[in-house]
Amino acid sequence: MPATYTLISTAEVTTAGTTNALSFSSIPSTYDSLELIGTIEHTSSGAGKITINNDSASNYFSRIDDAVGGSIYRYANTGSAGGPFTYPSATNTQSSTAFIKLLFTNYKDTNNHKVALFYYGQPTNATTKCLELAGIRYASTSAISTITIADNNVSTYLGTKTKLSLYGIVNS
Amino acid sequence: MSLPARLLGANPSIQVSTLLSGSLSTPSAKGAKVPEFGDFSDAYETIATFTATSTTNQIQFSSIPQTYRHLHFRIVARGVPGANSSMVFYVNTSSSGTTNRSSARSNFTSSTQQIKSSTPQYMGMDMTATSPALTIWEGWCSGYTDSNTYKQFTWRMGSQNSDSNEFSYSSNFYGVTQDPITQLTFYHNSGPNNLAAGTMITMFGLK
Repeated sequence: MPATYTLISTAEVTTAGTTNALSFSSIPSTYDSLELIGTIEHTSSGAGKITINNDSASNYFSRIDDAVGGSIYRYANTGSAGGPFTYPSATNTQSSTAFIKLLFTNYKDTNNHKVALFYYGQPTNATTKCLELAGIRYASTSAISTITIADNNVSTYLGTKTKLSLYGIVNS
Repeated sequence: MSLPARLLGANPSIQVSTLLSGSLSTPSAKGAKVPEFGDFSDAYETIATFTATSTTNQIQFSSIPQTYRHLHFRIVARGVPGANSSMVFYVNTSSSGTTNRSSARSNFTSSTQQIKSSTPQYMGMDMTATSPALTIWEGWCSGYTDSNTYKQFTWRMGSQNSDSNEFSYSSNFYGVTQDPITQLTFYHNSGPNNLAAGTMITMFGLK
């Protein structure tokens, strides 16, 4: 029986103060779905974003549920440059790591837009906690070959506790 | 009392225990090899499963292998009659009272958060306590083997019954220790002997 859940690659920040983004590129088209799981350490407050195929155009649509600081927020992004993925009230400590999970179910489909489910949890010991859930649509019929997770601020670096794993899933 | 761990397969280190009845299995652990790009070995392995055959106090996974990148959990559970509180967990200890746990949980109608609290780590909202209904969870912990990082968990749960009608999420921060996670204990927030027969927890490792 073929493997159904395979580690494709890992990415991590090895030196502090060197990068604000991690990318998986040349993603093989040999799977049916992709799952990205990992930990992100941000070094200041602000927003993060998901970019596909290095496309910085306004091709990202999402519906987002946020639970932040004991309040509920629901909103939509229509045609934004980069996906959802909010970093609320971050503090520059090791306790500000967050959990991230993304599921792409049609990443190699060349006839339809790409869709993904997004989970993000940043409990920390800072004042404000965050849960974020989203459905994402990438408005492109191109197969996904590159996924980038970045801080929205190009001058804000990711911490060395940032470690991501990309898995391929085969429907067998 | 603790049940002796019945160890199966190639994973002799993991131990699962409960204070009352249940069965467990540890079907596979294929070693510490980390696949490189293009390696098609399967990355998703069952570490251990516990199934309660009668009322259970707590479910504890100890000696968790340090050979994976992430942990994944699938749970179904029910409280004994009248006990429709939350499932909670501890990391590396069964003691309570440490004031460095934080969490956010929400059913997207309401949201609550705890900051540096001594309260248990709530895994979403309340579970059902009405037989034969069950409540379901899945959860993740990334980087559980890291030695200098507080650990993060994310849970989502669903329960649809007259005493528990929830679909909720939680994100839990365990700021008590930065050590690798070697032990996890799940229990019912209402106290001992409140997890009903039929409760099942499976822990997976992702290479």
